[in-house]
Amino acid sequence: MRILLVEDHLELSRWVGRALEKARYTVERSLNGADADARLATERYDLVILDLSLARLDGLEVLRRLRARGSRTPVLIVTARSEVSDRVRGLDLGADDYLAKPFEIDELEARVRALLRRSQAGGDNRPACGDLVLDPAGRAFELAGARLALTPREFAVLESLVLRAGKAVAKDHLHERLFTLESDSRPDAIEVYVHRLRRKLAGSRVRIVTLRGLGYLLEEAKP
Amino acid sequence: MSAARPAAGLQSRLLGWLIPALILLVAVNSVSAYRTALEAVNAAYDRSLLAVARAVADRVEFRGGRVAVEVPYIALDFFESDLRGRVYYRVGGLAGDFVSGWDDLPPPPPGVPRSQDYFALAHFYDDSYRGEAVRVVALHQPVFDERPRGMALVQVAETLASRETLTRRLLADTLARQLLLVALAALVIVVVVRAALKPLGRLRAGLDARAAGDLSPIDPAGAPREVGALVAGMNDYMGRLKGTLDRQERFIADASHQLRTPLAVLRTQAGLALREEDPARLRETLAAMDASVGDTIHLANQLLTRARAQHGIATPAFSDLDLAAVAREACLELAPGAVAKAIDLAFEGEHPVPLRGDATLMRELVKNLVDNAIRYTPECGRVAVRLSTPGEAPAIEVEDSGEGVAAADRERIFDPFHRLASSKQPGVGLGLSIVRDIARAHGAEIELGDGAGGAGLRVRVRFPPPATPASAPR
Repeated sequence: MRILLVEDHLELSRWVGRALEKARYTVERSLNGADADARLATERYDLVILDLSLARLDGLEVLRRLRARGSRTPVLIVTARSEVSDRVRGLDLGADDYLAKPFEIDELEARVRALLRRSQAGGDNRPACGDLVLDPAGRAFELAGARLALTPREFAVLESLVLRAGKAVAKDHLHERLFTLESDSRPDAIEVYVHRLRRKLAGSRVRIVTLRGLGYLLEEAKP
Repeated sequence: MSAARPAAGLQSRLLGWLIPALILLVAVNSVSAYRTALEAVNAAYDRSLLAVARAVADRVEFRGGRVAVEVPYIALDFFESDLRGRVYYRVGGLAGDFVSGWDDLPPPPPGVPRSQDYFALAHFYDDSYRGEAVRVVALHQPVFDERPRGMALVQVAETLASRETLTRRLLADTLARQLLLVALAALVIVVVVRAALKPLGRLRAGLDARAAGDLSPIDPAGAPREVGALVAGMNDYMGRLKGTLDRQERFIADASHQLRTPLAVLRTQAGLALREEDPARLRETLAAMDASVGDTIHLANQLLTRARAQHGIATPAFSDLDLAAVAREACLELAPGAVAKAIDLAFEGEHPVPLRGDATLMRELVKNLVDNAIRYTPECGRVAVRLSTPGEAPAIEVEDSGEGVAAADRERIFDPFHRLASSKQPGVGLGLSIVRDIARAHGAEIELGDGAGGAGLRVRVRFPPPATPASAPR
């Protein structure tokens, strides 16, 4: 797997490069926007890690040109700018993911893995949390390799949670997904489904955490 | 310098009003002076004209049943040479018949009033004779021998050339005098205005000469009373500015100290790690370094948040918002952090809490409150976020089961970088200082109390009711 790391801070570039090489990726490092643009125009990479604040050519412009050439190479934006507008512009221009500096190297590797998996033809790009895997094509969950039997509403709840695994999902959001129009739309109806899901997930490596008054969070249980 | 502009403006404004007004006054005065002088000149000339008419009239006799006259040509000549104009006369008989002089001098027009200035039957009027404008006196002279016979009419006309010459001289003279007056008065005005505005120029020069950072009060000595008030206002403003700058400076000093501290720790840890032989202890040191880096990152983020909040406080964008919704969003965002520490995060806010405030700042306020609570609560503790219920004044309350804050420390936890001496938690006390600044900008009050069962800390931010607009930031 060949990764182009575009980062103008020499030290950061070197250490991130080393970390990725240790994870057995082939890393090419580019220290400015113009150089990155030139390489991207001639070489083929499996992934680009792109800093936004670059000398000579802005990261967003590098991205725009890459996409203008019709390349579908996955791009992970890494930047110290925390403005939401930058993130939105980056994603609008065709970036695949976004990571704010400073980041943990584990987090970076996880994102890289996910992006590469998604871009590999026929690769495993299924949302997952712990030993729980969602197969969107089959509209089914696998728990530790075995198919998990769920009612449609249980499936909807678990799908919302696994798509945002590790993050809080508002109760209102679940409610809207479940009860589009009719029937038993009592606010605590969700609790019933969560309760049932918990029973079905018992003994696995995932668990649903209740955030009282807020919603729920699916997390990988610590061993 | 913009300081120069008001002074110049004042001076030109004063001069711009005073000098035209002066010119107008002098012009009106000139016209009236000229008129008066003209009347005096005419009166003098008329008197001379009458004297000639009288000299002629004195020689009018009634002889042999008809009017006769011996004209005193010497008087006429003298008069002519004196006046530098031509003089004509005509003496008419009792029936208006021609007796002597210029036969074609026209008779006085009807309705000319008798002059009141002289004890004589004299009439003065303007006419024209032989194509020239003339001034004429018509004098009725009684004629008698043994008994009164009737009235003879003596007319003396004089061309106006001489009068006009004198009038022109008079006008020129008047104008010259008045122009001199205007020039002198304008000079006085300019000098006086300049002198009166001099204190402003001095103040400006004093300000120009100041170093950029010099905010010491301006000395109002020697400044007129009106300027003194301005100086006092400026001094007051500079005093407040100095306060702000001093706080800023103190903050930067604190911030650099706070930034250096974890870096120093990090360097020590790195030095230790380099000398470490035992792989297990090396890992331990590296884990500690990782934690130090975490502290530094948190501090950098807080400094940025504070800078953004300060900017937002300076230029708040108030709108109607639901505090409960804002708080819910913030809690959802922070929930993973609570879950990671196995903290039970509870949100109690079923009802909307309408409020007038800056949405971004309000979000920062809630995030800092909740983040602070999670940070200072040990693993498996509790954090509760409560919103006011309808009917109550808008408020948000965050309660944790952490170590709490001793009553004596409660005022100081809002100071930037304040950390409780007892606290073993990493992190710096910027969060609550941000909360306080934002609360102030919204006219809100902060109350501190014990958590449930006397443990932990409860922070309550109470906003003014939405009916009364949030007070503007100071």
